[in-house]
Amino acid sequence: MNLLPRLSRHEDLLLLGAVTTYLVAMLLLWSRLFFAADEPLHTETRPWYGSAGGLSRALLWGGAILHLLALAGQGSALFSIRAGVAGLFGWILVLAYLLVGQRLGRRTLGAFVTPVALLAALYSLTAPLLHRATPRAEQLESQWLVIHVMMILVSYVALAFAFAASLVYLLQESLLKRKRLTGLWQRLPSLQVADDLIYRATSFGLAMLTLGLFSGVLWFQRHQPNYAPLHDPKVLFSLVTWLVFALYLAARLWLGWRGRRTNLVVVCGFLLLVASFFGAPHVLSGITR
Amino acid sequence: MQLFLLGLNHKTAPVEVRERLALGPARLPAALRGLRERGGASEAAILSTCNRAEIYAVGAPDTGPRLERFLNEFHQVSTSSLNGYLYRHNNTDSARHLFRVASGIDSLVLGESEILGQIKTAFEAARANGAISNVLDELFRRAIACGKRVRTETSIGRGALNVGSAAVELARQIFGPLSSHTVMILGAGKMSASTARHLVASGAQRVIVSNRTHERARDLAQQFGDGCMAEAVTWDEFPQRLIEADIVIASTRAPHCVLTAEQVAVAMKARRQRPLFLVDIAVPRDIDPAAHQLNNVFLYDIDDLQGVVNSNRAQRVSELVRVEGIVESEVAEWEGWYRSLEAHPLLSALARRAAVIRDAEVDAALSQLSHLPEREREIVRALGRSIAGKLMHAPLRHLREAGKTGSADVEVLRRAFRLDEAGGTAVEAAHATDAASEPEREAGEAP
Repeated sequence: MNLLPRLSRHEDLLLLGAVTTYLVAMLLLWSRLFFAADEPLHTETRPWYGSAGGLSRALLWGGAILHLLALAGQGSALFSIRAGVAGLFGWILVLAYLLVGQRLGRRTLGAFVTPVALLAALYSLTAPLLHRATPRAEQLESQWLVIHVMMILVSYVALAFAFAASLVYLLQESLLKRKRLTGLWQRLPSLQVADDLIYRATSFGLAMLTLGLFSGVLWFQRHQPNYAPLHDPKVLFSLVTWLVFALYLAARLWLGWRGRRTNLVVVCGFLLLVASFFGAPHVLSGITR
Repeated sequence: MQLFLLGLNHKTAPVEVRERLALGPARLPAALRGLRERGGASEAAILSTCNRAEIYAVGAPDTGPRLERFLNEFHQVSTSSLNGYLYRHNNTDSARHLFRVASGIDSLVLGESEILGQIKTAFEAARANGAISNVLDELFRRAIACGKRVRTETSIGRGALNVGSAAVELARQIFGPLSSHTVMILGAGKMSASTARHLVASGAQRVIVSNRTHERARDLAQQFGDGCMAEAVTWDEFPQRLIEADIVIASTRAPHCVLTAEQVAVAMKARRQRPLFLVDIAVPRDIDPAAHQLNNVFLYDIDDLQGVVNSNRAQRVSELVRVEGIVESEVAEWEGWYRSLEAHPLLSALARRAAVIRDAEVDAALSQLSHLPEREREIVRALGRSIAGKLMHAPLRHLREAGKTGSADVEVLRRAFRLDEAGGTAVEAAHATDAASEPEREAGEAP
């Protein structure tokens, strides 16, 4: 992959700018969470650039704007090409964090959400030229596709939050179990709060994933009447992922599973989700790439 | 005029000395009155807590020794018996001391916030007795603001410093804000009761007490009374009731474990794995340490809690540098305000001088212009006001600033305008006549 010539195009430059700001924001959030010599309780008395939290927030907003401009130049590739979808996912994740996520869990989720967004954006940057890969199948550009992809992406974002909250939970739990009670544990949210967050995000994510999978299968069947969803490795992979998250909910609701074990299931589910996104070739990959 | 501080605290004086100078609310008005009538203070405030007794006063330079004499008389102690215990500070040092006290860094328990409330009380009491005017009013307001600022901007006041509140802190990190949670006490001792009280004060709503002798459990349950539901259960019953508890505090005198890991495991199954926080403050321990290995069970013994307390204490100590920095910046601000007070008489003398000259000149002019209608006379008066105002604007502002920094310009201005300390009106009147010719000369220079 030769990056340099591509950087002459302004979308890629914008994307590179977005990736860089995400990276700096992530490092700031990490430094605040892991290394901060206790930050004052009331940082709002300081200007936004006076605290790691405020600075990372500003950077993420800036990065999201750059990213949006970069996405705007990519057209239909956003919905039909893996790299485009990954970039869009990263952007929605950052936006969801800025609008909703950063107020939750004592503002600690950012340290775990931003790496996911950063990797997604980075992947979209290093992927093959988006421009030349215009989809050959024109009929793919229907509104159904957009709706399907958006629903899937929203579910991915919700599950990414569940993943981040699970990491927060597992970290806090291990600190409490190992009785390592200096600094970090006071900055993390309580187990109960993290657990509620995971539960809510997973429920919402699973509901959206269900709708997204259905809409995808329906849409495929309309275009290819002989399409057999169960022979599509992507669908199979997605079904397994769906089952893992469903297992989490069922175990929590009916089996009385709680705490570390259940939240490990969420972490595994999200990793499986990522694997299925990258690992399983889509039945249409021949057409779209 | 000077600011004085005379006092002693837990570091300089043992309790036998402190208690002799302690001052309840009943004797406070008399002491405040005495400080002003016999101690020679124009303003006075007294901060008296179990750890300190301090007198803040404003007065002439000889007030210091008089305050001390008054203190000896009032408390009927001999001068020699207080020698070595008292500290005396003047002006900025007094302010710095009060700011440090308000910040909690002069306290026995580093960063405690009770002292801030005690300072407020002392301030209000002195004000209610009419013992305070502008200097101490400003001093106490700024001290209270400094104390608040220190506690919001640093973590000097954060982190539990006793085992009971350390247990609360841990419970909060497991359950979030306590609300419908249930506390179970095994062994109705003093320590467990006080820990449970901390938890109830933080929101826990139910207490279950169990003790080998049931009467003691009943007594303790009754003590909780309002604000939460407390109930006593027999010793045989507690393993079954464990299901209802979120937090268990064990402090029996039993020589062996009273709660086994198996019992906890059974309870966890029944409570569908909801987290359980076990606090074992008994020595020898009451709860099998193996319980900590169970999922969603967090067992902390007395050493663990003491460890939390120790690390919190270390954290507070590490904040000291930042607190001192804030105190110094607040002291510097105070110093500016306090110094500008010295320039105040000069400022008003200067303003008065300008007014006298203005009025004299305008009246002289108007007496020769008696034919003018009222509207035009008003224009002449406005002219006088405007010239005097604009001419004096810059020097007055400069004087105000110079006063804050204690600059020598204050003296220069005093001499330039020939204002002596007295600044009396008689002098001004004399100046008014000879100054009458000056504006003409200056008017020529003006653009």
